[in-house]
Amino acid sequence: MTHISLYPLWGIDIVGSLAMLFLSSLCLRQVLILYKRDREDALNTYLMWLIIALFVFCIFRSLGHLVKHLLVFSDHSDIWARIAPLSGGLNTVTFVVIFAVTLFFRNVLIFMNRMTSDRVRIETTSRQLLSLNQDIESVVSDRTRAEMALNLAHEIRNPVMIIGGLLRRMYRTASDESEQGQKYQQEIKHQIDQLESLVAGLEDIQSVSQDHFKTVELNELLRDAVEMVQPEAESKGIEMSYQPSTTKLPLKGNQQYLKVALLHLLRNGIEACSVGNYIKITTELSRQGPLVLIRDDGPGIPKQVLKHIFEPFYSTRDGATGLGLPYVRQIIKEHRGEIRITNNKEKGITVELRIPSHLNELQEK
Amino acid sequence: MTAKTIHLPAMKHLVIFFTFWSPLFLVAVIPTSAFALQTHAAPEGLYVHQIGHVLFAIAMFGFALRIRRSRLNKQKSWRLMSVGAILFALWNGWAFIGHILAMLISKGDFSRGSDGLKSILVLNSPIDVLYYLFKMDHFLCFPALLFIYLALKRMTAQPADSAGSEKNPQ
Repeated sequence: MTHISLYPLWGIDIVGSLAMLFLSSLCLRQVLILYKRDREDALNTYLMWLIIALFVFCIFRSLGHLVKHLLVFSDHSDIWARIAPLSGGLNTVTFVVIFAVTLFFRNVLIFMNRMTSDRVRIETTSRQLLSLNQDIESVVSDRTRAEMALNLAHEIRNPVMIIGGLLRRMYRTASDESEQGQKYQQEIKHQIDQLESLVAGLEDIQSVSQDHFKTVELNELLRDAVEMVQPEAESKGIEMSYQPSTTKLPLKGNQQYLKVALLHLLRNGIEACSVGNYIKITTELSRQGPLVLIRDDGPGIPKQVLKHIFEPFYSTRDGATGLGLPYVRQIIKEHRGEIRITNNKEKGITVELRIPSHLNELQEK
Repeated sequence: MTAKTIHLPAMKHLVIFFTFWSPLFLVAVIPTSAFALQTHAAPEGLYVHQIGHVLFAIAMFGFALRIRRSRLNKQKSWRLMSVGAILFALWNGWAFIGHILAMLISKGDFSRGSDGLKSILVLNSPIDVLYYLFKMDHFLCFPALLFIYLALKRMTAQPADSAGSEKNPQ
Protein backbone atom coordinates (compact mmCIF):
# COMPACT_ATOMS: atom_id res chain seq x y z
CA MET A 1 0.00 0.00 0.00
CA THR A 2 1.40 3.43 -1.01
CA HIS A 3 1.39 6.34 1.40
CA ILE A 4 1.90 9.93 0.42
CA SER A 5 2.54 12.92 2.66
CA LEU A 6 0.06 15.78 2.54
CA TYR A 7 2.76 18.31 3.51
CA PRO A 8 3.74 19.18 -0.11
CA LEU A 9 0.04 19.70 -0.83
CA TRP A 10 -0.36 21.97 2.19
CA GLY A 11 2.85 23.80 1.27
CA ILE A 12 1.56 24.51 -2.23
CA ASP A 13 -1.78 25.59 -0.79
CA ILE A 14 -0.22 28.03 1.72
CA VAL A 15 2.26 29.50 -0.76
CA GLY A 16 -0.44 29.62 -3.46
CA SER A 17 -2.91 31.37 -1.13
CA LEU A 18 -0.32 33.96 -0.07
CA ALA A 19 0.63 34.53 -3.74
CA MET A 20 -3.04 34.95 -4.66
CA LEU A 21 -3.49 37.53 -1.89
CA PHE A 22 -0.46 39.47 -3.10
CA LEU A 23 -1.36 39.26 -6.80
CA SER A 24 -5.01 40.20 -6.28
CA SER A 25 -3.87 43.29 -4.33
CA LEU A 26 -1.62 44.25 -7.25
CA CYS A 27 -4.52 43.74 -9.66
CA LEU A 28 -6.69 46.01 -7.53
CA ARG A 29 -3.98 48.66 -7.47
CA GLN A 30 -3.58 48.54 -11.27
CA VAL A 31 -7.30 48.73 -11.95
CA LEU A 32 -7.67 51.69 -9.58
CA ILE A 33 -4.88 53.51 -11.44
CA LEU A 34 -6.73 52.78 -14.69
CA TYR A 35 -10.05 53.93 -13.27
CA LYS A 36 -8.66 57.15 -11.78
CA ARG A 37 -7.09 57.98 -15.12
CA ASP A 38 -10.51 58.20 -16.79
CA ARG A 39 -13.47 57.84 -14.47
CA GLU A 40 -15.94 58.42 -17.30
CA ASP A 41 -14.72 55.49 -19.41
CA ALA A 42 -17.39 52.78 -19.23
CA LEU A 43 -14.92 49.98 -19.90
CA ASN A 44 -12.53 51.13 -17.16
CA THR A 45 -15.44 51.34 -14.73
CA TYR A 46 -16.60 47.88 -15.71
CA LEU A 47 -13.09 46.47 -15.31
CA MET A 48 -12.86 48.03 -11.86
CA TRP A 49 -16.03 46.27 -10.70
CA LEU A 50 -14.90 42.94 -12.15
CA ILE A 51 -11.46 43.15 -10.54
CA ILE A 52 -12.98 44.19 -7.19
CA ALA A 53 -15.23 41.10 -7.36
CA LEU A 54 -12.20 38.91 -8.21
CA PHE A 55 -10.20 40.57 -5.42
CA VAL A 56 -12.93 39.84 -2.84
CA PHE A 57 -13.09 36.24 -4.11
CA CYS A 58 -9.30 35.86 -3.73
CA ILE A 59 -9.36 37.39 -0.25
CA PHE A 60 -12.15 35.11 1.02
CA ARG A 61 -10.66 32.02 -0.61
CA SER A 62 -7.04 32.58 0.40
CA LEU A 63 -7.84 33.73 3.94
CA GLY A 64 -10.17 30.73 4.34
CA HIS A 65 -7.38 28.35 3.29
CA LEU A 66 -4.77 30.04 5.51
CA VAL A 67 -7.05 30.16 8.57
CA LYS A 68 -7.89 26.50 8.03
CA HIS A 69 -4.22 25.50 8.01
CA LEU A 70 -3.52 27.71 11.01
CA LEU A 71 -6.36 26.20 13.06
CA VAL A 72 -5.61 22.61 12.05
CA PHE A 73 -1.89 22.97 12.85
CA SER A 74 -2.71 24.56 16.21
CA ASP A 75 -5.08 21.68 16.98
CA HIS A 76 -8.24 23.79 16.74
CA SER A 77 -9.99 21.77 14.06
CA ASP A 78 -13.28 22.14 15.95
CA ILE A 79 -13.19 25.92 15.49
CA TRP A 80 -12.52 25.46 11.76
CA ALA A 81 -15.50 23.07 11.58
CA ARG A 82 -17.67 25.97 12.80
CA ILE A 83 -16.11 28.60 10.52
CA ALA A 84 -15.90 26.42 7.39
CA PRO A 85 -19.58 26.82 6.29
CA LEU A 86 -19.30 30.62 6.57
CA SER A 87 -16.05 30.67 4.59
CA GLY A 88 -17.52 28.39 1.90
CA GLY A 89 -20.74 30.43 1.81
CA LEU A 90 -18.87 33.70 1.30
CA ASN A 91 -16.83 32.04 -1.43
CA THR A 92 -20.01 30.99 -3.21
CA VAL A 93 -21.45 34.49 -2.93
CA THR A 94 -18.35 35.91 -4.66
CA PHE A 95 -18.83 33.39 -7.50
CA VAL A 96 -22.36 34.63 -8.04
CA VAL A 97 -21.24 38.28 -7.83
CA ILE A 98 -18.55 37.65 -10.48
CA PHE A 99 -21.17 35.94 -12.66
CA ALA A 100 -23.56 38.88 -12.25
CA VAL A 101 -20.86 41.46 -13.02
CA THR A 102 -19.77 39.54 -16.13
CA LEU A 103 -23.34 39.56 -17.45
CA PHE A 104 -23.00 43.31 -18.00
CA PHE A 105 -19.91 42.96 -20.18
CA ARG A 106 -22.01 42.51 -23.31
CA ASN A 107 -23.96 45.69 -22.55
CA VAL A 108 -20.75 47.60 -21.86
CA LEU A 109 -19.34 46.45 -25.22
CA ILE A 110 -22.53 47.48 -27.04
CA PHE A 111 -22.39 50.82 -25.26
CA MET A 112 -18.72 51.29 -26.15
CA ASN A 113 -19.27 50.30 -29.79
CA ARG A 114 -22.13 52.74 -30.04
CA MET A 115 -19.99 55.47 -28.51
CA THR A 116 -17.13 54.68 -30.89
CA SER A 117 -19.34 54.76 -33.98
CA ASP A 118 -21.04 57.96 -32.78
CA ARG A 119 -17.67 59.57 -32.19
CA VAL A 120 -16.48 58.59 -35.68
CA ARG A 121 -19.69 59.99 -37.15
CA ILE A 122 -19.33 63.25 -35.20
CA GLU A 123 -15.70 63.58 -36.29
CA THR A 124 -16.64 62.96 -39.93
CA THR A 125 -19.50 65.46 -39.76
CA SER A 126 -17.26 67.99 -38.06
CA ARG A 127 -14.63 67.57 -40.79
CA GLN A 128 -17.30 67.95 -43.46
CA LEU A 129 -18.69 71.04 -41.74
CA LEU A 130 -15.24 72.56 -41.60
CA SER A 131 -14.70 71.84 -45.28
CA LEU A 132 -18.13 73.28 -46.12
CA ASN A 133 -17.35 76.41 -44.10
CA GLN A 134 -14.15 76.82 -46.06
CA ASP A 135 -16.10 76.32 -49.29
CA ILE A 136 -18.67 78.91 -48.28
CA GLU A 137 -15.94 81.35 -47.22
CA SER A 138 -14.28 80.91 -50.58
CA VAL A 139 -17.59 81.42 -52.41
CA VAL A 140 -18.43 84.53 -50.36
CA SER A 141 -14.94 85.96 -50.86
CA ASP A 142 -15.12 85.41 -54.65
CA ARG A 143 -18.56 86.98 -54.81
CA THR A 144 -17.60 89.98 -52.69
CA ARG A 145 -14.47 90.61 -54.73
CA ALA A 146 -16.36 90.38 -58.00
CA GLU A 147 -19.18 92.59 -56.76
CA MET A 148 -16.82 95.26 -55.43
CA ALA A 149 -14.85 95.27 -58.65
CA LEU A 150 -18.00 95.57 -60.73
CA ASN A 151 -19.33 98.41 -58.59
CA LEU A 152 -16.03 100.24 -58.79
CA ALA A 153 -15.79 99.74 -62.51
CA HIS A 154 -19.34 100.94 -62.97
CA GLU A 155 -18.77 104.05 -60.87
CA ILE A 156 -15.55 105.20 -62.53
CA ARG A 157 -16.10 103.96 -66.05
CA ASN A 158 -18.20 106.91 -67.30
CA PRO A 159 -16.13 109.81 -65.93
CA VAL A 160 -12.91 108.18 -67.10
CA MET A 161 -14.31 107.56 -70.58
CA ILE A 162 -15.53 111.15 -70.87
CA ILE A 163 -12.24 112.62 -69.66
CA GLY A 164 -10.33 110.29 -72.02
CA GLY A 165 -12.47 111.26 -75.01
CA LEU A 166 -12.16 114.99 -74.31
CA LEU A 167 -8.43 114.83 -73.85
CA ARG A 168 -7.93 112.89 -77.08
CA ARG A 169 -9.92 115.51 -78.93
CA MET A 170 -7.90 118.29 -77.29
CA TYR A 171 -4.69 116.51 -78.21
CA ARG A 172 -5.70 116.23 -81.89
CA THR A 173 -6.91 119.86 -82.25
CA ALA A 174 -4.33 121.74 -80.16
CA SER A 175 -1.43 121.74 -82.67
CA ASP A 176 -0.12 125.19 -81.79
CA GLU A 177 0.44 124.39 -78.12
CA SER A 178 3.87 124.81 -76.66
CA GLU A 179 6.18 121.83 -76.38
CA GLN A 180 5.73 121.77 -72.61
CA GLY A 181 1.92 121.76 -72.94
CA GLN A 182 2.05 118.85 -75.41
CA LYS A 183 4.26 116.91 -73.02
CA TYR A 184 1.72 117.36 -70.22
CA GLN A 185 -1.16 116.36 -72.48
CA GLN A 186 0.74 113.22 -73.51
CA GLU A 187 1.34 112.32 -69.90
CA ILE A 188 -2.37 112.84 -69.03
CA LYS A 189 -3.38 110.68 -72.03
CA HIS A 190 -1.02 107.94 -70.88
CA GLN A 191 -2.52 108.00 -67.38
CA ILE A 192 -6.07 107.94 -68.79
CA ASP A 193 -5.20 104.89 -70.95
CA GLN A 194 -4.00 103.15 -67.83
CA LEU A 195 -7.22 104.02 -65.98
CA GLU A 196 -9.31 102.65 -68.87
CA SER A 197 -7.44 99.38 -68.93
CA LEU A 198 -7.87 99.16 -65.14
CA VAL A 199 -11.65 99.53 -65.53
CA ALA A 200 -11.62 96.82 -68.22
CA GLY A 201 -9.63 94.61 -65.87
CA LEU A 202 -12.13 95.13 -63.06
CA GLU A 203 -14.99 94.16 -65.37
CA ASP A 204 -13.12 90.99 -66.32
CA ILE A 205 -12.92 89.79 -62.72
CA GLN A 206 -16.32 88.14 -63.07
CA SER A 207 -15.12 86.12 -66.04
CA VAL A 208 -11.79 85.39 -64.37
CA SER A 209 -13.72 83.53 -61.63
CA GLN A 210 -14.67 81.06 -64.35
CA ASP A 211 -11.06 79.92 -64.23
CA HIS A 212 -11.92 78.17 -60.96
CA PHE A 213 -13.94 75.70 -63.01
CA LYS A 214 -12.26 72.33 -62.93
CA THR A 215 -13.25 68.77 -63.69
CA VAL A 216 -15.73 67.62 -61.03
CA GLU A 217 -17.25 64.16 -60.74
CA LEU A 218 -20.93 64.79 -60.06
CA ASN A 219 -21.65 61.37 -58.52
CA GLU A 220 -18.84 61.82 -55.99
CA LEU A 221 -19.91 65.36 -55.21
CA LEU A 222 -23.48 64.28 -54.65
CA ARG A 223 -22.39 61.34 -52.48
CA ASP A 224 -20.47 63.75 -50.22
CA ALA A 225 -23.49 66.03 -49.98
CA VAL A 226 -25.86 63.12 -49.22
CA GLU A 227 -23.50 61.79 -46.52
CA MET A 228 -23.45 65.21 -44.91
CA VAL A 229 -27.20 65.54 -44.60
CA GLN A 230 -28.00 61.85 -44.02
CA PRO A 231 -27.83 62.08 -40.17
CA GLU A 232 -30.19 65.08 -40.34
CA ALA A 233 -32.68 63.04 -42.39
CA GLU A 234 -32.33 60.00 -40.09
CA SER A 235 -32.98 62.09 -37.01
CA LYS A 236 -36.23 63.33 -38.60
CA GLY A 237 -37.25 59.78 -39.56
CA ILE A 238 -36.89 60.48 -43.29
CA GLU A 239 -35.60 57.72 -45.53
CA MET A 240 -32.92 59.15 -47.78
CA SER A 241 -31.54 57.01 -50.62
CA TYR A 242 -28.97 57.79 -53.27
CA GLN A 243 -28.63 55.88 -56.51
CA PRO A 244 -25.80 57.19 -58.67
CA SER A 245 -25.57 56.44 -62.38
CA THR A 246 -23.52 53.43 -63.39
CA THR A 247 -21.19 55.66 -65.41
CA LYS A 248 -19.14 58.48 -63.99
CA LEU A 249 -20.47 62.00 -64.57
CA PRO A 250 -17.51 64.33 -65.00
CA LEU A 251 -18.27 67.98 -65.71
CA LYS A 252 -16.52 71.31 -65.78
CA GLY A 253 -17.62 73.31 -62.78
CA ASN A 254 -16.83 74.89 -59.49
CA GLN A 255 -16.86 72.18 -56.83
CA GLN A 256 -17.63 74.54 -53.93
CA TYR A 257 -20.51 76.31 -55.67
CA LEU A 258 -22.09 73.07 -56.86
CA LYS A 259 -21.74 71.45 -53.43
CA VAL A 260 -23.40 74.42 -51.73
CA ALA A 261 -26.24 74.29 -54.29
CA LEU A 262 -26.78 70.54 -53.86
CA LEU A 263 -26.69 70.78 -50.06
CA HIS A 264 -29.22 73.57 -50.18
CA LEU A 265 -31.61 71.52 -52.30
CA LEU A 266 -31.24 68.45 -50.05
CA ARG A 267 -31.75 70.50 -46.88
CA ASN A 268 -34.86 72.09 -48.38
CA GLY A 269 -36.19 68.57 -48.99
CA ILE A 270 -35.46 67.49 -45.41
CA GLU A 271 -37.12 70.60 -43.99
CA ALA A 272 -40.25 70.04 -46.08
CA CYS A 273 -40.57 66.31 -45.34
CA SER A 274 -41.53 64.65 -42.07
CA VAL A 275 -41.45 61.21 -40.40
CA GLY A 276 -42.06 58.36 -42.85
CA ASN A 277 -41.34 60.42 -45.98
CA TYR A 278 -38.60 59.55 -48.41
CA ILE A 279 -36.10 61.51 -50.48
CA LYS A 280 -34.69 59.67 -53.49
CA ILE A 281 -31.69 61.06 -55.26
CA THR A 282 -30.66 59.65 -58.62
CA THR A 283 -28.22 60.68 -61.30
CA GLU A 284 -28.02 59.74 -64.96
CA LEU A 285 -26.37 60.79 -68.18
CA SER A 286 -28.98 62.37 -70.42
CA ARG A 287 -28.52 63.74 -73.96
CA GLN A 288 -28.09 67.25 -72.56
CA GLY A 289 -25.48 66.03 -70.09
CA PRO A 290 -25.47 64.96 -66.43
CA LEU A 291 -28.88 64.99 -64.79
CA VAL A 292 -29.71 64.99 -61.08
CA LEU A 293 -33.20 64.11 -59.85
CA ILE A 294 -34.27 64.70 -56.27
CA ARG A 295 -37.71 63.26 -55.56
CA ASP A 296 -39.64 63.28 -52.33
CA ASP A 297 -43.11 62.36 -51.15
CA GLY A 298 -43.50 65.38 -48.88
CA PRO A 299 -46.37 67.89 -48.89
CA GLY A 300 -45.35 69.41 -52.24
CA ILE A 301 -45.47 73.13 -53.14
CA PRO A 302 -48.71 75.05 -53.80
CA LYS A 303 -49.03 76.34 -57.38
CA GLN A 304 -49.07 80.02 -56.36
CA VAL A 305 -45.82 79.53 -54.40
CA LEU A 306 -44.14 77.46 -57.12
CA LYS A 307 -44.41 80.39 -59.56
CA HIS A 308 -42.31 82.64 -57.32
CA ILE A 309 -39.98 80.06 -55.87
CA PHE A 310 -36.86 81.39 -57.61
CA GLU A 311 -37.61 85.04 -56.89
CA PRO A 312 -35.23 86.69 -54.40
CA PHE A 313 -36.67 87.45 -50.94
CA TYR A 314 -39.74 85.31 -51.63
CA SER A 315 -40.29 82.89 -48.75
CA THR A 316 -43.23 81.21 -47.06
CA ARG A 317 -41.21 80.20 -44.00
CA ASP A 318 -40.67 82.40 -40.97
CA GLY A 319 -37.06 83.49 -40.53
CA ALA A 320 -36.02 82.38 -44.02
CA THR A 321 -34.19 84.91 -46.19
CA GLY A 322 -35.76 83.79 -49.42
CA LEU A 323 -32.35 83.89 -51.07
CA GLY A 324 -31.60 80.15 -50.99
CA LEU A 325 -33.23 78.94 -54.17
CA PRO A 326 -32.40 82.08 -56.19
CA TYR A 327 -28.78 81.52 -55.18
CA VAL A 328 -28.98 77.86 -56.23
CA ARG A 329 -30.41 78.91 -59.59
CA GLN A 330 -27.66 81.51 -59.98
CA ILE A 331 -25.00 78.84 -59.41
CA ILE A 332 -26.65 76.47 -61.89
CA LYS A 333 -26.96 79.32 -64.44
CA GLU A 334 -23.26 80.11 -64.07
CA HIS A 335 -22.66 76.48 -65.04
CA ARG A 336 -24.94 77.01 -68.07
CA GLY A 337 -27.29 74.52 -66.46
CA GLU A 338 -30.99 74.36 -65.78
CA ILE A 339 -33.05 73.78 -62.63
CA ARG A 340 -36.71 72.85 -62.58
CA ILE A 341 -38.96 72.14 -59.61
CA THR A 342 -42.27 70.43 -60.29
CA ASN A 343 -44.96 68.87 -58.14
CA ASN A 344 -45.32 65.11 -58.55
CA LYS A 345 -48.63 63.66 -59.75
CA GLU A 346 -49.25 61.94 -56.44
CA LYS A 347 -47.24 63.51 -53.64
CA GLY A 348 -44.15 65.59 -53.16
CA ILE A 349 -41.90 67.35 -55.62
CA THR A 350 -39.13 66.57 -58.09
CA VAL A 351 -36.11 68.77 -58.50
CA GLU A 352 -34.51 68.36 -61.90
CA LEU A 353 -30.98 69.61 -62.32
CA ARG A 354 -29.24 69.57 -65.70
CA ILE A 355 -25.64 70.65 -65.85
CA PRO A 356 -23.74 70.52 -69.14
CA SER A 357 -20.38 68.87 -68.83
CA HIS A 358 -18.39 71.63 -70.70
CA LEU A 359 -15.52 69.20 -70.85
CA ASN A 360 -14.50 70.24 -74.35
CA GLU A 361 -14.07 73.83 -73.22
CA LEU A 362 -11.84 72.69 -70.40
CA GLN A 363 -9.72 70.62 -72.77
CA GLU A 364 -9.42 73.57 -75.17
CA LYS A 365 -8.18 75.74 -72.33
CA MET B 1 -83.86 51.14 24.49
CA THR B 2 -82.86 49.83 21.15
CA ALA B 3 -81.03 46.53 20.56
CA LYS B 4 -77.75 46.66 18.58
CA THR B 5 -78.04 44.99 15.19
CA ILE B 6 -75.33 43.93 12.78
CA HIS B 7 -75.90 45.12 9.28
CA LEU B 8 -76.22 42.36 6.70
CA PRO B 9 -73.51 43.51 4.28
CA ALA B 10 -70.90 43.66 7.10
CA MET B 11 -71.84 40.13 8.19
CA LYS B 12 -71.38 38.91 4.65
CA HIS B 13 -67.85 40.32 4.51
CA LEU B 14 -66.91 38.61 7.79
CA VAL B 15 -68.12 35.21 6.50
CA ILE B 16 -66.17 35.60 3.27
CA PHE B 17 -63.04 36.66 5.18
CA PHE B 18 -63.07 33.66 7.53
CA THR B 19 -63.99 31.17 4.79
CA PHE B 20 -60.90 32.11 2.79
CA TRP B 21 -58.35 32.89 5.47
CA SER B 22 -59.09 30.24 8.14
CA PRO B 23 -57.55 27.27 6.21
CA LEU B 24 -54.34 29.24 5.67
CA PHE B 25 -54.29 30.23 9.32
CA LEU B 26 -54.66 26.56 10.34
CA VAL B 27 -51.83 25.45 8.09
CA ALA B 28 -49.64 28.13 9.56
CA VAL B 29 -50.26 27.20 13.19
CA ILE B 30 -49.95 23.37 12.90
CA PRO B 31 -46.22 22.83 13.59
CA THR B 32 -45.92 19.38 11.96
CA SER B 33 -46.89 20.72 8.59
CA ALA B 34 -44.97 23.99 8.45
CA PHE B 35 -44.56 24.19 4.66
CA ALA B 36 -43.70 27.88 4.77
CA LEU B 37 -40.06 27.27 5.62
CA GLN B 38 -37.87 24.83 3.78
CA THR B 39 -35.10 23.20 5.76
CA HIS B 40 -31.55 23.30 4.37
CA ALA B 41 -29.74 20.05 4.92
CA ALA B 42 -25.93 19.77 4.86
CA PRO B 43 -25.39 18.76 1.19
CA GLU B 44 -27.25 21.86 -0.02
CA GLY B 45 -24.23 24.04 0.78
CA LEU B 46 -22.02 21.89 -1.43
CA TYR B 47 -24.60 21.89 -4.23
CA VAL B 48 -24.87 25.68 -4.10
CA HIS B 49 -21.08 25.96 -4.11
CA GLN B 50 -20.85 23.66 -7.13
CA ILE B 51 -23.54 25.67 -8.92
CA GLY B 52 -21.45 28.73 -8.06
CA HIS B 53 -18.43 27.12 -9.76
CA VAL B 54 -20.52 26.42 -12.86
CA LEU B 55 -21.74 30.03 -12.97
CA PHE B 56 -18.20 31.34 -12.44
CA ALA B 57 -16.94 29.11 -15.28
CA ILE B 58 -19.73 30.22 -17.63
CA ALA B 59 -19.05 33.86 -16.74
CA MET B 60 -15.33 33.55 -17.45
CA PHE B 61 -15.82 31.62 -20.71
CA GLY B 62 -18.40 34.17 -21.84
CA PHE B 63 -16.09 37.04 -20.89
CA ALA B 64 -13.18 35.52 -22.85
CA LEU B 65 -15.40 34.76 -25.85
CA ARG B 66 -16.78 38.29 -25.99
CA ILE B 67 -13.26 39.71 -25.86
CA ARG B 68 -12.17 37.40 -28.70
CA ARG B 69 -15.14 38.40 -30.85
CA SER B 70 -14.87 42.12 -30.19
CA ARG B 71 -12.43 44.71 -31.48
CA LEU B 72 -10.76 44.58 -28.06
CA ASN B 73 -8.99 41.44 -29.24
CA LYS B 74 -6.73 43.67 -31.36
CA GLN B 75 -5.06 44.84 -28.17
CA LYS B 76 -2.55 42.55 -26.50
CA SER B 77 -3.72 43.60 -23.04
CA TRP B 78 -7.22 42.31 -23.74
CA ARG B 79 -5.87 39.11 -25.26
CA LEU B 80 -3.98 38.52 -22.01
CA MET B 81 -7.19 39.25 -20.11
CA SER B 82 -9.05 36.63 -22.15
CA VAL B 83 -6.32 34.03 -21.45
CA GLY B 84 -6.69 34.77 -17.73
CA ALA B 85 -10.47 34.36 -17.99
CA ILE B 86 -10.12 31.03 -19.82
CA LEU B 87 -7.72 29.76 -17.14
CA PHE B 88 -10.20 30.84 -14.44
CA ALA B 89 -12.94 28.95 -16.27
CA LEU B 90 -10.72 25.85 -16.39
CA TRP B 91 -9.90 26.29 -12.70
CA ASN B 92 -13.62 26.21 -11.93
CA GLY B 93 -13.94 22.91 -13.77
CA TRP B 94 -10.87 21.65 -11.90
CA ALA B 95 -12.28 22.73 -8.52
CA PHE B 96 -15.68 21.26 -9.39
CA ILE B 97 -14.09 17.83 -9.95
CA GLY B 98 -11.93 18.33 -6.84
CA HIS B 99 -15.04 18.84 -4.68
CA ILE B 100 -16.65 15.68 -6.10
CA LEU B 101 -13.46 13.71 -5.38
CA ALA B 102 -13.37 15.10 -1.84
CA MET B 103 -16.89 13.77 -1.42
CA LEU B 104 -15.98 10.34 -2.80
CA ILE B 105 -12.76 9.82 -0.90
CA SER B 106 -12.98 7.70 2.23
CA LYS B 107 -12.14 9.37 5.56
CA GLY B 108 -10.19 6.23 6.44
CA ASP B 109 -7.66 6.96 3.70
CA PHE B 110 -6.18 9.73 5.84
CA SER B 111 -3.91 8.55 8.62
CA ARG B 112 -2.03 10.36 11.36
CA GLY B 113 1.68 10.88 11.00
CA SER B 114 4.29 11.20 13.72
CA ASP B 115 3.26 14.85 14.21
CA GLY B 116 -0.19 13.78 15.34
CA LEU B 117 -1.85 15.42 12.33
CA LYS B 118 -3.70 13.54 9.62
CA SER B 119 -0.88 14.27 7.23
CA ILE B 120 -0.68 11.00 5.32
CA LEU B 121 -2.90 9.90 2.48
CA VAL B 122 -3.08 6.19 1.80
CA LEU B 123 -3.43 5.66 -1.92
CA ASN B 124 -5.96 2.83 -1.90
CA SER B 125 -7.67 3.68 -5.19
CA PRO B 126 -7.34 5.94 -8.26
CA ILE B 127 -9.73 8.35 -6.49
CA ASP B 128 -7.04 8.96 -3.81
CA VAL B 129 -4.45 9.74 -6.49
CA LEU B 130 -6.84 12.01 -8.38
CA TYR B 131 -7.83 13.72 -5.13
CA TYR B 132 -4.17 14.49 -4.43
CA LEU B 133 -3.64 15.87 -7.94
CA PHE B 134 -6.83 17.92 -8.04
CA LYS B 135 -6.00 19.50 -4.69
CA MET B 136 -3.20 21.41 -6.45
CA ASP B 137 -5.62 23.86 -8.05
CA HIS B 138 -3.29 26.81 -7.43
CA PHE B 139 -1.39 25.71 -10.53
CA LEU B 140 -4.40 26.97 -12.50
CA CYS B 141 -5.87 29.84 -10.52
CA PHE B 142 -2.50 31.55 -9.87
CA PRO B 143 -1.56 31.76 -13.59
CA ALA B 144 -5.13 32.91 -14.30
CA LEU B 145 -4.74 35.84 -11.93
CA LEU B 146 -1.19 36.45 -13.20
CA PHE B 147 -2.47 36.88 -16.78
CA ILE B 148 -5.15 39.28 -15.57
CA TYR B 149 -2.50 41.25 -13.66
CA LEU B 150 -0.25 41.39 -16.77
CA ALA B 151 -3.22 42.58 -18.82
CA LEU B 152 -3.98 45.36 -16.35
CA LYS B 153 -0.33 46.35 -16.10
CA ARG B 154 -0.16 46.63 -19.87
CA MET B 155 -3.32 48.72 -19.92
CA THR B 156 -1.97 51.16 -17.33
CA ALA B 157 1.34 51.39 -19.24
CA GLN B 158 -0.51 52.43 -22.42
CA PRO B 159 -1.49 56.06 -23.08
CA ALA B 160 -4.84 57.09 -21.59
CA ASP B 161 -6.56 57.11 -24.99
CA SER B 162 -5.93 53.45 -25.75
CA ALA B 163 -5.83 51.71 -22.37
CA GLY B 164 -9.15 50.20 -21.43
CA SER B 165 -11.34 51.72 -24.05
CA GLU B 166 -11.67 50.96 -27.74
CA LYS B 167 -10.65 54.45 -28.73
CA ASN B 168 -7.57 53.12 -30.43
CA PRO B 169 -8.03 49.43 -31.02
CA GLN B 170 -5.00 49.18 -33.31
